[in-house]
Amino acid sequence: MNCEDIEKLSPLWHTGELEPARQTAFDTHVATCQDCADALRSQISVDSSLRDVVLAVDPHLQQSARRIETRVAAEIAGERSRRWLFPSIAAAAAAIAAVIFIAIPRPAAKVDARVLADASRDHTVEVIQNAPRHWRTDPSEIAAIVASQGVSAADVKALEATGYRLDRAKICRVAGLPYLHLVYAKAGREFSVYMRKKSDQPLPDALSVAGSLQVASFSRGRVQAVVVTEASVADCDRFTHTAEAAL
Amino acid sequence: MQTRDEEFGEVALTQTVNLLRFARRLTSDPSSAEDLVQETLMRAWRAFDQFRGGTNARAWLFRIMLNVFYGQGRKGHLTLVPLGDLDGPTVDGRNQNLEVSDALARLPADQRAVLLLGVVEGFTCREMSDMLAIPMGTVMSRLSRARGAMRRQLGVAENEAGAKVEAYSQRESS
Repeated sequence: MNCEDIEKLSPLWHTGELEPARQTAFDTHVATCQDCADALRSQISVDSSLRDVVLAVDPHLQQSARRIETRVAAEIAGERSRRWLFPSIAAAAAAIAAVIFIAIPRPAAKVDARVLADASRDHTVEVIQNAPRHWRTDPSEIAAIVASQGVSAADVKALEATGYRLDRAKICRVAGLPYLHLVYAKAGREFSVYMRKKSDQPLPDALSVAGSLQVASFSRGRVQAVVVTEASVADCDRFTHTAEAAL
Repeated sequence: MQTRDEEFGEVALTQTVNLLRFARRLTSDPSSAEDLVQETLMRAWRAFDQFRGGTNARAWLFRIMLNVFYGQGRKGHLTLVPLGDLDGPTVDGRNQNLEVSDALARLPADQRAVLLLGVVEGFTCREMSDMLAIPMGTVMSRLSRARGAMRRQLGVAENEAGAKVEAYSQRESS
């Protein structure tokens, strides 16, 4: 593989779509070619800046979204009511339907869905693809960044009850918010735990599957966390429940 | 047993914020973006019987949105983002957000769309190819051109990118 191939295939590298053989050849070339390594770092830097800006918390976005949903509800009710014979009844039905529609329980709406998607993407890039990142492996450095996020070192340690050891840590942004990215490992198997001090924004308790990844999340004690792994659904479920019980 | 409204609420309305965030950057205008999302959700509602449970709802909705957007003759349309409407406070006293937004807005719409879909929304090249009904190679070349243009506009030289990433990590952990 040469520099031209790297340039051409880099979009697939970023999205994790390279076949294993090409991935290996790609990584081998980048490891020995400073120009290509610099180019990839440059692309990662641009991507990171773009995500920071576009995903920044914006209260107006939520307000606009609610406004759109109200208009959609009214429009749907209106479309239904146009089949009715009496306009006054139709208007009343439209109003009632709009209220019912807006009041529909939407379990995932309580959750910022970006958290799970962002965590999955972050795990893919930083753990599976092992993109260059400034990881902390020294216990004192890890303790410092854990404390900086208002999280107790005891809570981070408690997750080792899963049988997996804390291998490395860093701070990253998930859905525009800072999270501790903790990687717990055992025998080559790794779990990313995105942890932050418990906030008003709840996370889902359900286990979900995103492509080849398992994604789970929980809020317990003083923290909330998203777990991402390539391990099996059963292993992810076991890890998550043990972690919850330990907190 | 869920009603059609409940199913639609779970499948589509949970994506309203994601659709709107994408639409605002795509159209470069908050008002047009709201109209675009509303039209997208209405088309999704009308076609909801064709949606198969278990398939990728996000991809389905974004595909509808792109069809609406390009169907309105906006292909290649270029307008600048009204920066003050879209961006929050600046970082470190600099106009970093504005610089990135400005660079994004200067991209041709085709490149801006794949960059947002791939980098921000996390779609794969394969998914974008299906969504936009264009070959994978075209998606890849648009992504490469978009990243290159952003890099040039932001003045991120390749030899300084590593330092920027490092500085970012340091700032985050301080």
